[in-house]
Amino acid sequence: MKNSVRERRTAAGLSQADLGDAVGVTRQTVNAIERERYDPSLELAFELATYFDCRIEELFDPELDGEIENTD
Amino acid sequence: MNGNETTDRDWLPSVRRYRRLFWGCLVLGVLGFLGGDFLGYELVGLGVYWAGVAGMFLVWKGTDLQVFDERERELDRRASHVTLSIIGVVLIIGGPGQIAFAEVGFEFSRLMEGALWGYAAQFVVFGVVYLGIRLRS
Repeated sequence: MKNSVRERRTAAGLSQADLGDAVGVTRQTVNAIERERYDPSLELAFELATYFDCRIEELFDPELDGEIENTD
Repeated sequence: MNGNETTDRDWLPSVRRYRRLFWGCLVLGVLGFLGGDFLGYELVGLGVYWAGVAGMFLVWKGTDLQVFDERERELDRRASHVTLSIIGVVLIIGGPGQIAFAEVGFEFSRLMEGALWGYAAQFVVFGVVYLGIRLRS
């Protein structure tokens, strides 16, 4: 899933390990989320959104545009 | 969620410690087993192995901390699913396949038969565990 975790993390001057430590996951998990290889659970998505003080939909883009067009 | 922040900050160092202990126990047990076997002290090696495995389970289940995070648990689930699928295909083809192979003169060895029975038993265990989890959820 597209997301702006990397942009927000680097803007905050954090390493992946720092962010992982803050939200309770490993550095590898943060890396996988940033590379869009892993979609976090709803709970972790809320943790990240709370940490960055934004809404989940500002942090994650489910890329539904194409699917919505196809179903019409 | 804010209430968890202090816990979260303490999470990773503790988890790292538990992980080192977890894998350390397992590696120690296996090395002890191999070392005992190599030096001719099989029973001592076996004792070290059991102690290592017991230590690994104690570390794993003896803490409220999640030693593995959600992505690692998801990887574990996916790997288990793929493994079961592969074993399922082998069992579905191999089980009845014995009859066909026997017709053309190829008898399965006892090892191969044992493996197929082991795979079948694994699916029985899976079914029981699945049912138990389903009834509790």
